[in-house]
Amino acid sequence: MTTILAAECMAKAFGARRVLTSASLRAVSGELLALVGRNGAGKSTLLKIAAGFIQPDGGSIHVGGRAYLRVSLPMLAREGVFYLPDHDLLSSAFSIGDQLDMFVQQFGQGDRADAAALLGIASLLHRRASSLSGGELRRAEVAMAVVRGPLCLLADEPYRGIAPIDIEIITRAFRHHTSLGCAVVFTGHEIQSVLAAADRVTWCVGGTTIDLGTPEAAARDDRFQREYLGPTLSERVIEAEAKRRAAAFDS
Amino acid sequence: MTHSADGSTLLRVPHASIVRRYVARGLILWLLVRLMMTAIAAFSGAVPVRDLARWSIAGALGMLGACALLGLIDVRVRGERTLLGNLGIDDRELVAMYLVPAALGELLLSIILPW
Repeated sequence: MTTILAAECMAKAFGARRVLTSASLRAVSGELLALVGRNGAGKSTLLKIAAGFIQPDGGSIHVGGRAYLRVSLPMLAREGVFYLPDHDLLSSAFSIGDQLDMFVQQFGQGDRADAAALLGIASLLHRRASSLSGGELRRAEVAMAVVRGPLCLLADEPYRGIAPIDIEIITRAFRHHTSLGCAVVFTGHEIQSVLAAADRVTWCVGGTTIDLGTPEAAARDDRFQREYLGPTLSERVIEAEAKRRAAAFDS
Repeated sequence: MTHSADGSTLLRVPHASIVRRYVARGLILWLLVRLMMTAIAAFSGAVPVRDLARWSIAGALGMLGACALLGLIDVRVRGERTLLGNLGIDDRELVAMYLVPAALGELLLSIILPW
């Protein structure tokens, strides 16, 4: 397991409001890391900093064996990082197929047909982003990441507002990535889907991050239960995790 | 692509298919800005009528600056910043793609119009 990208001791304030004081993130090859936390806890900010989309007030980013105080998305993209924002990745000026082609041509790798098949968007390639439904748009955006074949994928709320079947398709694409050695970091509030997909969970709380370990360990963490999951969901999550473990053991 | 001694990228030309798309946009932008500036100059009376068809270095530099700025604004308005970022294209390269047709257009005008 190799660390592809690490953001260490990140600090960020927006005006007088300190969102992050000492938050860290480690994207490891072949692993799906879920970054969870309450609204405003700084998950998206941490992801944006790690992607070079916004600049931190403090901390360092480690990528490709080098440490940087400031990074930009184009620079990281050339190093193999792909940032999937929570909205507006795609342009409505070009068709979905054209935008997939841009990634294939720019990086000289990836297969448009394979990516479209994996995400179930083969029939949407001639359409523009503005004409797609929420689920179709999200799958098309993930297809861009698939065709790019990044070393590290940073996805901000990929499951937000989409149907369970779309969540399953996107999770399958993430799994496909990790099986190829890619590191995937994603955020989300759809906690049952998030924990079912993740290999490891990091909790963003109080301006910092706490590594909770596996989803099973996270679901049993007292403080995480008390401050994030709540009592009802804790029971459900633990039950679902037990079922998942039993099913995995049986298979 | 060119690298400096420490391996950082100095200049990277995006793939031709991407360059074509943005150069085409840059050409339309330059034409629109040129027409608009000429119309404003004509109707405001700021420039004498006999000078409207004259080319000047100051005017050309102003056009290039306007095209670069409007190109960046265009990309932000269209919400393409993240897409281009993920393609490894930074603001410098983007501005260059918008400037190429404007520079060529101004060069052409400098040849066919009196100074």
